[in-house]
Amino acid sequence: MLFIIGSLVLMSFSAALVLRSLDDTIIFFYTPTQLAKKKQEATFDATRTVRIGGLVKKGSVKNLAQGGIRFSITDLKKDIRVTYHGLVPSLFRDNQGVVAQGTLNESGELQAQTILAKHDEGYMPRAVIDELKSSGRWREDNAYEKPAP
Amino acid sequence: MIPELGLLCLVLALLMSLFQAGVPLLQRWNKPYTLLHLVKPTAAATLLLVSAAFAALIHAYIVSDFSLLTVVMNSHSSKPMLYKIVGAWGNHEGSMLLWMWVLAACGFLVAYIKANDAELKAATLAILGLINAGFLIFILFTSNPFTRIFPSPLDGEDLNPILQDIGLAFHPPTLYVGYVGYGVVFAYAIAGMLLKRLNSDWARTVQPWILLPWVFLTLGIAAGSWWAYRELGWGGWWFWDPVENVSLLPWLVGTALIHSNRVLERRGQLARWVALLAILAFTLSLIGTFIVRSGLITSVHAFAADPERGMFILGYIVLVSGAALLVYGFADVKASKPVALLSRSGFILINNLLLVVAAAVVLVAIIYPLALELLKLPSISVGPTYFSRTFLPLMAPLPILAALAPLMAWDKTSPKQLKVLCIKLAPAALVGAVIALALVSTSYALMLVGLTMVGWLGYGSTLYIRRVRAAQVRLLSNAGLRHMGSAAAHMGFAIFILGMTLTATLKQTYDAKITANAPMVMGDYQLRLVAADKREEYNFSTRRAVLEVSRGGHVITTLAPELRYYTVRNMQTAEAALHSTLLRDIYLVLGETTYREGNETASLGVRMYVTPGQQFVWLGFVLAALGGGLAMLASLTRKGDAS
Repeated sequence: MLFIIGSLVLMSFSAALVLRSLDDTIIFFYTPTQLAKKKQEATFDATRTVRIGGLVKKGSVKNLAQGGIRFSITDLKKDIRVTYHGLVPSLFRDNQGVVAQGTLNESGELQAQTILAKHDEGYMPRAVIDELKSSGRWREDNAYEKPAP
Repeated sequence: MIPELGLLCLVLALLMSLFQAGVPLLQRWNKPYTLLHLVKPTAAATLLLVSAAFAALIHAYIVSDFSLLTVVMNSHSSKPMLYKIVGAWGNHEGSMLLWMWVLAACGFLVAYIKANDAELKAATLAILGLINAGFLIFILFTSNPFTRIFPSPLDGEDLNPILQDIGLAFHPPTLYVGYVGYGVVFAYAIAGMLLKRLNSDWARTVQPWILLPWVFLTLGIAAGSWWAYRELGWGGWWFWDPVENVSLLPWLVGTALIHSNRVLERRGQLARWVALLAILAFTLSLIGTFIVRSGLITSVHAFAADPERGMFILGYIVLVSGAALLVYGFADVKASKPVALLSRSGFILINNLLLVVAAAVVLVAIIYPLALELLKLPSISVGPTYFSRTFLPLMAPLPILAALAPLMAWDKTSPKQLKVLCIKLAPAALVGAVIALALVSTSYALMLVGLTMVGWLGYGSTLYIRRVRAAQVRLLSNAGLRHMGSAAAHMGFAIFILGMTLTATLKQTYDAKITANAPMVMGDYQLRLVAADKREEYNFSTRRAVLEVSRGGHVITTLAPELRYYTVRNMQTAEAALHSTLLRDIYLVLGETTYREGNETASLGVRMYVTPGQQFVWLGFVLAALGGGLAMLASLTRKGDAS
């Protein structure tokens, strides 16, 4: 009996812990277009860490004088400027799929703490594929996605 | 020709498996004509056929047969021979064939290891036959490794450079033995329920089969973690990545299973719970395979996003686990006395509860983002913070229990005895706490809890060994091996906690641009560029920086991290360089600090991680696996029903 009560307490405690933690710790992923939409909403919390995914806009990458790089993430509809200090991941290139994680500053630029190095050269976040498809700019022949064996 | 023979072998193996499943069922109706003696050779034949098919695939990789689709997609004539061979399972089709081979090998072992209960064994082999058949159908219809391509290209697309590492040789096979091994436990559980034989004898029979997958899963997870540590260049050994979490699920449930099966063996209690855990462990192994292989998660493990395969595995899981749960629901298991809370059995039950709830917490973190994505809701990711807030608090009581339980009686312990034990262990925990407070770290809370637990459990395991020796149990006897195994695994757990705590709280990261004229200062350390060169290797070109690491004017070592460029896949990977001592790792990895514009070359930077306690993580894994291995040896050498 004691054991059953104990397990119920433990399980409800864990459930509460899970729900609370999910609420505070999940990181939302947006494409530049989704973020622009989200920013209009009253509930948008600009201080939270977000992930922005898209393509590295062609020709946008600049080396900063004081170190670090600045570039734009695009989904070919909207762009977001990103600044990043640190080692550039191995797979970072023009027109390459990229995910940057960080916080937005007042001017709407993303201060990236990490640029997620992806395992695959053809990596492209699914939300970006959807965004490209919905704007009719998706090309199957493009090297966006790994060739399906 | 050889690939066609390989395919033929797989078809024949399917027929064998169906026969293996059918015979014991037939035998029930045809008692006089006992066909049972045919089951053993069938299991052997299945193994032989699958081995032949596997050999045919490896052969195709060795000779670079580019008329096979999987070889084209994952190999290249310029790839080193080692990676041609182990690359045979560095892709979806090959890895599924490896899965099948391990399954067939386990079936063979079940058939040929002597067992007291012939009927239980026959029923188990029948269920394994069904599992085999389902998997072979999956391979033949959705993942045929012998698919030809015409016209065949001149060369292949090469193996993902990240996979071109020695880790590929042993991480997948060990992990698969773990996953598949739970299939045997599962088959035994179903057979035991059908034959109404879930009792102490049953527990004794499955004991080695519960330990075997756990040992291999532990080693497989360790190998994967070690591989990621060296190859990804991120300086960490666990990232709470979904593919890592997925392998943790059967491990957690499997750990619970090892402990509760001992209660069933010794006390005849918890039979139903053990059966449920067995079903759960295999289901989670299958779910792991499904999530990783279906391409739901983007990672180095998701070889292909093919919805057909995903749907097939999903259907297979629903069928296998659904049927199992039906059997479980209708199973007629004799009720036993309830477990007393203040006893070794009771503590094991609490441990089980914590482990299973922890597995559920991890499962939520895997499923939730996937569910949101399927429902076209905003994409999210669940990061390390989630786990440090939910998973770690649930795990925290485990070392407390693990130190006390082996010192308690199976059936009943008085509160007074428990108090005496706690008073004995308290000073060691206190020492841990004092050390924790003396160290400067990034998280005092984690450090304090971690080191207190290390003191408590480390001393508890020592007391356990001392007690076994005082009872004059011969160490190489059966009981001796079992006690040693248990103590080693618990000691491994303590050392692992030590490693985890230290790496999580004391790790330091430094970045610097590489300069030739002045040494780079990184905290207490200094790096001096000795040489830099560019070389052409067999299938990649590499840029290397030779760096001398010193501290306070004293030279520690010279390390040479590399940036490799793989031409065929147009991919760059960072090859880290390591200097390890027992107490800390120095880890150097190269990267570009600026972006290459046009023809300019990017300037190189170096990142250094100094990680105290890294070796304790690996040591913990190995000691735990060793403990499991000793216990398995004990369970295999046990004669009759001697306890």
